[in-house]
Amino acid sequence: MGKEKFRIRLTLNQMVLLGTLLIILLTGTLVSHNFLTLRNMLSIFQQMSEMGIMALGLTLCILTGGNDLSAGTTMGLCAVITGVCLTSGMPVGLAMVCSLAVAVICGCINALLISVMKVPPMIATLGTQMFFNGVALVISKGNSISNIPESFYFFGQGKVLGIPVQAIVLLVLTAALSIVLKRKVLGRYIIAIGNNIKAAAYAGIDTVKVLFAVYILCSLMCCFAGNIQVARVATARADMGGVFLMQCISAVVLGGTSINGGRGGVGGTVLGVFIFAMISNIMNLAGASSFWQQFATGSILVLVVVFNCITEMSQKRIRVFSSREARKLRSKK
Amino acid sequence: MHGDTFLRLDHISMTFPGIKALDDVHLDIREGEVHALIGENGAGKSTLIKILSGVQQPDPGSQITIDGRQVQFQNANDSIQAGINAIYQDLSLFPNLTVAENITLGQFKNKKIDWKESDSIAAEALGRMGVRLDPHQLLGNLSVAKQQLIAIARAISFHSRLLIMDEPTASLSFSEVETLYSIIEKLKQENIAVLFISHKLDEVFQVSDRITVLRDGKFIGCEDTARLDNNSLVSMMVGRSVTYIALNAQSNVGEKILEVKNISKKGNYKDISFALHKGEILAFTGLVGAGRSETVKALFGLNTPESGEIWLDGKKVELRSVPQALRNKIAFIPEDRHAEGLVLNMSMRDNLTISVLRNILGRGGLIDNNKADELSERYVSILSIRPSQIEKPAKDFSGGNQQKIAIAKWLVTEPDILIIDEPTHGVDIAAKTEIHKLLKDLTKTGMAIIMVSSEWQEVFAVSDRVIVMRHGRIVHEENTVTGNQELMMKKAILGV
Amino acid sequence: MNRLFERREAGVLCILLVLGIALAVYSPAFLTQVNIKNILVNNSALAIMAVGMTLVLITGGIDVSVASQMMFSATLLAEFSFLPFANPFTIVLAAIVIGAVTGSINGLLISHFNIDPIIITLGTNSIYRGIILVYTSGRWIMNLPGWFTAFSKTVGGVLPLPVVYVVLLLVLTAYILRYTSFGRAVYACGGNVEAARRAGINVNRTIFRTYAYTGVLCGIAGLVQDSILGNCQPAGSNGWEMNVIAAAVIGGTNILGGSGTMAGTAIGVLLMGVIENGLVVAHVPTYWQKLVYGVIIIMTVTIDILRKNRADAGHQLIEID
Repeated sequence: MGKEKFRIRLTLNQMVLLGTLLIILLTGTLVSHNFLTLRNMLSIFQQMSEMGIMALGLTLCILTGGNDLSAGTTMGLCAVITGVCLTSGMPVGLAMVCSLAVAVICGCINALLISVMKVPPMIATLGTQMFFNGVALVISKGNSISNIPESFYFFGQGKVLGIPVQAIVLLVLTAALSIVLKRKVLGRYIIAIGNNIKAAAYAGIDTVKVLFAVYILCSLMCCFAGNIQVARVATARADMGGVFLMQCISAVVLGGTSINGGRGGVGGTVLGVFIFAMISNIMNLAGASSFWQQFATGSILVLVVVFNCITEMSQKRIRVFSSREARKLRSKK
Repeated sequence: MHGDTFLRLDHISMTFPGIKALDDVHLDIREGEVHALIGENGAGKSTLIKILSGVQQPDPGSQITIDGRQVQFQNANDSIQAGINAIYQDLSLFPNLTVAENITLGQFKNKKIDWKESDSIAAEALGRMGVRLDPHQLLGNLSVAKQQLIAIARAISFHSRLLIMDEPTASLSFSEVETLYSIIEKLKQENIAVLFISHKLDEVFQVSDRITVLRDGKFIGCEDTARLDNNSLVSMMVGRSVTYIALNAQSNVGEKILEVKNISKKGNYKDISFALHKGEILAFTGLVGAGRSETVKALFGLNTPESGEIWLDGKKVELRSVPQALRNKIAFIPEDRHAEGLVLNMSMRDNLTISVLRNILGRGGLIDNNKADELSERYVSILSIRPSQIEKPAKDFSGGNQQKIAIAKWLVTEPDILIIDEPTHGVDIAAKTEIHKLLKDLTKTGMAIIMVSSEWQEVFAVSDRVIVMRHGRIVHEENTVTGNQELMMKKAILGV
Repeated sequence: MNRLFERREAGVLCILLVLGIALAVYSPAFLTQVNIKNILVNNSALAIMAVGMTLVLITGGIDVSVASQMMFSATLLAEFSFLPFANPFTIVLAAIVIGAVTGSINGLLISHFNIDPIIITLGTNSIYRGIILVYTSGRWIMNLPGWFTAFSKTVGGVLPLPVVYVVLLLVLTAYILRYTSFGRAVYACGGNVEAARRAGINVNRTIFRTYAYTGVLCGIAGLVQDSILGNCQPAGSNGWEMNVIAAAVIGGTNILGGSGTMAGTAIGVLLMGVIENGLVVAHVPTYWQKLVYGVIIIMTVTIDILRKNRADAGHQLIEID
């Protein structure tokens, strides 16, 4: 690797995130001595994986300055496709290929609307959200699909070396996307587009291709999440993933990715998902009704975002000072 | 027209954390006069305007006096009530509202809005300006020039005593500029004062009665226009006389590299033909709105011609997209480096390498950060970009250095043809000269440069050949050094 | 104004009429008094929320907490209705106050801290929903008092009161949008927020009021919903915010801000209601509903955008000799 400079520089946002994480870990240990056990942690990882994988995909979309509100229903659609394929006797591999293909189509539809026809991402994916959900409902006739063959269970219930399969998938995907964002050309293009799509186009970036890649990747992530959930609960339903969407977006923002794009990363997202998963776990351990969960996740999101905002405002004033003053000094020479 | 002084700003200071943007500045406005506010970028003009229009609060000790009474503007409203209306460079209008509403928005505070009255106020304001427009159409459907007129109509409908215009002719064509001048004349007759910010000295001389000059946040002086000329005014602005060295005394012109044959695009340019040679600096000049940027963008895949041919190195080429232009070794540095040229939030290094990422890949197809650093540092020293921290975000650099980064970004692609739109726009004098020298040095290696410029001095000193455009067509072409400079300027303005 | 009407709202109205006629022809059950009444009444709460959402969208913002705000109000009102001092007057007051509080919290966080509305309302969406779920443990509140459900009775056997409320609120809000400086400020902020500031408009106050007003409307929607159903399901109306946004957007409100009308939104709500009803009448399984909604939104928005793109490209830049 040569003389690679290894830099650790934490932004204020990342510090807040880690602080929140520590506070929650502390709370957890206070609530129950079972909290910090390996078994409990693995259970948390297992539960958070589906949401985490979807959140990874959403991070990419949000980084480009867009969004994918159809993520949840894409997951449901892919789940249904897998369910239908498996119960009609298709081998596991073929069923997964089918659902992956459907995911690619979903991503293409989104990308077509957003990058070619220039429909604002929010509204384009609002439409496709309903459409994909509709397709899933029609295919499944609004019913749950059970009788998922046991050969499929591995993806959601299996363990490798004691670690749940989906957690491994999440880790691998996180690492891969992190590398893409930091060290691959596509990643650099994503950041550039999120910051200034016009300048990116002027610099020779094929923005249409990049956005296609991003939305297809996001849909693929949703497909993985959907298949994992089907394997975990041995059922396929069109409404799978519906509840995840808002939580995922919250996790992405909590993790430090700017909702306007151009800034952030997958590491923070996973941390955000982890925080939300821990909250829910602590509540279970404390015997608190699961109804507290929604309140807690919403409150944490608002608190963190407001806090970030306040600190950003005071930071901006300092930055303005140093750059302007430096300029003045230079021009005086 | 000299009336009495009705507005005075004295001891105006504006301190931002650590910087004094304005230091004890003075300005006085007489009734019905056209007063120009001049200064280089960073001189403090915009800050002064913001203070006058109430959007910014000055330091304590600053005095604003109207009709002999001291006043304070807590917000934009106070300033508007005092009869001061500003027309900003970005127009600050509402594309989603009608023309009439754009003119009268804000006039019906705390009472029911009477749309009939709004219509009549708008009609009256437009009438006073001699402008004919359907007041019920959406503003967003109008051209920039017409929107400018609406901005003025809005300001005068508010019974202004002072109209502030910030770079009003930036996006206007020649005939529209004439319309603006006649409107300013009408305003004078109605005893409405105009405070006019412009960097175009010829306009300032044509239109203003007095000129106030700011430099580095300080008040340099206020003179009757009649008593100044180009040189003395520039001296006041800059602190020293400025002449550009005639870099084109030496020619590096070689063989033909580019031939453009009769390209046209509706609404952009018509029948454009010219040739470009290696080592040549070819200037495209003309007034704003002549179509120069639109034409040169055609060579970069941004404004593909509908008809005509482009021949590169003796071979016909299609330039339909930016990547295609890149493959043909053409580079383009746009005029607006904030919106189009640079990604301000990204580091200088990332900006420098963005177009050549595929060339600095290392193992596994990953971007090699060492190669990126090396490349960036090399160009930082070639162009003397200061400060040399490559991790610094591009937005933290001064205008001149940002321009250097924008140029370096394209030099990295090692182009054969470099197109640069307004190379020294918004750049201070010292950096301007550096950039001129840089461009000339590039021609030594055989690079061909097309330079779009509105600054005649720059054109006459740096370019080898000049193409004058007007209304989307080429009206004149000549060798800069041997040619008739006056004729070139006349052709740009009059086309005769 | 006339010109506007010739375009967007009229287009959707045409679609609505065509659909209505098609359904009437297809099935005699459609145009019956009972059926029409059902469509109108079942969509009343949605319509009231859509009124507020339209304002929010015009300013260029968004409020995904409307369903939770409505249920927050509905739950509190349901509990409230059993108290001794509860009567028609106090309950209306309570609805307005509760809504004002929930909306104002949104408004304050968004306008004061300048945080993206979608983030804040995502958070408050969970907070409000979470609070009522914890408070009720998900338990339904049944058998609401008669005087409460009387709010949604049908007058003279013909006119359902919820429709009256919807129409009143539509007219009131249309008036506000057209004839008050607050209304015009809403459009101004959505069109060019910096220009609005320079024109002397208090942008923060305008944004705050927009969300507060939406909150009040959600509060009223909660009252209406309770009285229609006769009970309150704290976990219900999940995902309604998407339908509300869809209705506004189909009705011509630009999601990027700057334009939107009451007429358009009303037609949008009606269209979605007719589609839902039409599917039932045509004996199409309800699971086709989402699909149809989705297709309509995509089509509507695509047409909007294509028109806009064509207009942008048609702008002549240079006058050529």
